[in-house]
Amino acid sequence: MTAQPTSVEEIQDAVRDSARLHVRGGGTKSAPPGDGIVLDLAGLSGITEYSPAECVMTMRAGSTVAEIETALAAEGQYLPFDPPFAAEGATIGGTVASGVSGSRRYRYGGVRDFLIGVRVVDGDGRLIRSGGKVVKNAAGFLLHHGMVGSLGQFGVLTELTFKVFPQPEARRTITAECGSVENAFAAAGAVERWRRDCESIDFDERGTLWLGLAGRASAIGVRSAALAEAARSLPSVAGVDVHDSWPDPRISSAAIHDSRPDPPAGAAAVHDSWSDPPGTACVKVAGLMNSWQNLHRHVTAARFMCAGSVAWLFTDRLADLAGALRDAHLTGLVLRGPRAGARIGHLVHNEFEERVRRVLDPQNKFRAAPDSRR
Amino acid sequence: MADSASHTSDLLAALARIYPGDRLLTHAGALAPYESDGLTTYRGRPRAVVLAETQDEVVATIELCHHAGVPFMARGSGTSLSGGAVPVEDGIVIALNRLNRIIHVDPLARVAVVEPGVVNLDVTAAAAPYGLYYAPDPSSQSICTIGGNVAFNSGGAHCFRHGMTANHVLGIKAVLPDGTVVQLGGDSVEHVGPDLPGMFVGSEGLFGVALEITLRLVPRPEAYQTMLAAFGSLQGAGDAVSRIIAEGLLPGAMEIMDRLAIDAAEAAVDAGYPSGAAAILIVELEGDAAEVEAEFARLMDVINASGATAVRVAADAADRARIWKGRKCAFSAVGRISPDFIVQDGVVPRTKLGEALSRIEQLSASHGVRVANVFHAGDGNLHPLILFDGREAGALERAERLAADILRLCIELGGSITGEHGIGLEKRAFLGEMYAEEDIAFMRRLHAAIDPRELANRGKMLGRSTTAQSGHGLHPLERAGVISRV
Repeated sequence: MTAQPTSVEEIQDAVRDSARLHVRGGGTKSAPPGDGIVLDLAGLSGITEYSPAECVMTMRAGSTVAEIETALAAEGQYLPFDPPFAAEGATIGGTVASGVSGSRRYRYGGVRDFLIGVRVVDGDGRLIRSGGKVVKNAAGFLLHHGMVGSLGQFGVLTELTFKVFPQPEARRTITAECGSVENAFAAAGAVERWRRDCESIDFDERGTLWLGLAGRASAIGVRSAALAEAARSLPSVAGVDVHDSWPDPRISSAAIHDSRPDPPAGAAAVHDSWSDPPGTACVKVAGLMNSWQNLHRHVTAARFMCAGSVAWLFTDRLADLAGALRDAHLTGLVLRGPRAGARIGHLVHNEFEERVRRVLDPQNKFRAAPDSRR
Repeated sequence: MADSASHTSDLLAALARIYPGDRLLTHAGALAPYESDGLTTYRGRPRAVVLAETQDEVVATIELCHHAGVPFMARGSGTSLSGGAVPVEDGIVIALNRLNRIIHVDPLARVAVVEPGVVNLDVTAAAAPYGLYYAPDPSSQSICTIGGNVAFNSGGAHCFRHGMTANHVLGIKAVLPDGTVVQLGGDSVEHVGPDLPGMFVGSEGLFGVALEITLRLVPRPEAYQTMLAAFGSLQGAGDAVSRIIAEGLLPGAMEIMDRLAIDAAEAAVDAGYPSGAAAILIVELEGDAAEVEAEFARLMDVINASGATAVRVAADAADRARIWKGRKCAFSAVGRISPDFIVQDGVVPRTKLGEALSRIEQLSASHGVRVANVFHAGDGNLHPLILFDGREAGALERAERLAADILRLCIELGGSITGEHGIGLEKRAFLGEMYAEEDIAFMRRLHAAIDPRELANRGKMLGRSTTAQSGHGLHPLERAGVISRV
């Protein structure tokens, strides 16, 4: 059964009246499946306050990322954490609940670095506020931080307040072919040592490297030429190109191969729609470069971001990948596909998290079904 | 209570089995330096101070305190300006200055793992050989410790662009008030699951003690460009800041000082600030050299169009340091122009800065108390320095009333009662004015779930709960089956 509340009061009533619920935003990052009522928040949308001069915007949690980005762009501002799946209808509430940022989070930070306030309905139907509407605030517990990545377990986000930044005037993308993941990773490391102010540093499982630069139009040409020149000097790097208006290397199963110069036909067949073929999962893992040797055989495609420190892995052998992650002491979050919303790999009971969860959901209304938690 | 005294002497005996005599302080003379913090109006006499040298000692101490039902508090350098590090009367102080190893610095992953007693600036010093640094830079950074920064979500001058401590903590190994050790987060910028380290930050010691903290290091930009502009009015300086933001610039820092603060800084360190200015604005750009050059041209256009009476551009690193010197010492510099002062900390929306300053000026006149203003213009964080002479009858009370009125003004204008100093003891009464009852009730429920007996930094931030466990009988949350004692 699905409820489509359009007000906070309706959400509070639904929570109080139901034994089990889970929240749905745009369905782009499917939450842990659950029994009980589905609270579809698409109707709880809209920007409630926006001050470009303050660089602060408040919106209802069901607002789409697309509508937010449009409103910000009209004032020359943007969300620096690069929320993914905007084209497929992602909501800002789902972005916060999943805790997932895009590759341009490399420059200024991820979703948790820009969320400055929230309103949440807890498991007893109470409306709680954390943080505020100013970018600097040290009053009270930082519940809004805990809501980032909470996957619906800490209550229902109803309203969010973000710090936003001025939008860059211009962008360039420098691409290079490094031939392998290891070479691309090494090249990314070199770029980091040069301490260029890149907006993104991405590569994929075939060793294609993307370097994103953003800033003033009058400086972007000089900066990208210099970075491209430096990249050409690296061993094992070929085909360095500077692109003017390269399509965003956005992270969606459709875009992951669109951003390559020549997507191979096979790959396009697997990933040519945002609806991944059954059995294909997308898993976010951090800190996996040292273990890539043990993981790559379970992965069909991969997008490494932040010079390799974060990766989105596509697999049709999720159980095998989960086992390999466990062996490598890594934890993954299944973003899409089978077992979406599950944490896999190395899992440890976290007493602090459990106590926070019990305060916010004492009657276990939001608690994911057991097999989603392991 | 008779029970309490015997619990404490048992506790001291048990602590004496962990700590050698020179690291277990119980005599009044040895305890005196720990009795207050940067907010000298509050004092607390602890029963004992332990100087911990290992994480295991901290865990063992907390387990013992929990067993005995005796409150405890961890303390770094005691620079808190909100009374957060004032000892609980008759409680135990766990001094962490000796728990100060930099466990490792990983320049490839860009992280540093440190113990809580490490001084903030020492993290940057350890990262410097790799062209990296630790961004949160409170003015006390040459003395304050990371543990304290974590407890209070410390800020500094670079928060608008770089964020606060919570945005630079990737992982925390912490001991909860009942002795349970937990690992929150890890060593990556993206977590799987909730941002628990971010949630532990700013808990003002109420969630236990951070034993090991994984910090994010950021690369030094290729270039900085720092400038200082003088204005004939605070309004003028504030308007310039608004225009800078409207121009789409994202400076690393924007700071404003008023006439009183400028005079004090000049008298203290001879920073070479333009004399006669009603306000000065310091703006610092950072980034790739070509980008900074392009942005600086825009910045100068804005400054010149905003009526600045004098402009100084830093020509090199030494110049840059000189421009910052006056601002960084402002708090201690006012000690030269006034025997006593209160450092207030509040936030207003940036667009309301002008209004806030003019209202503060009116309040200062009506209370008959002088105020020097220093603030992080980029994020609306005010630091009114309320000047008084403690020897005058009633002067402290008048100063405190003005401080309270300024906090209410911040709430009225939609800001916050603290930008970076935290609630501590000083602002407990105001938390309920800023947040609704339901919000405070949640904070109390969370507090009770983590520390049902209120042993960790008892009394700070939320004040005492009326339902706190005395150590006897069941806590209401226990009766409800929500929590249970181990």
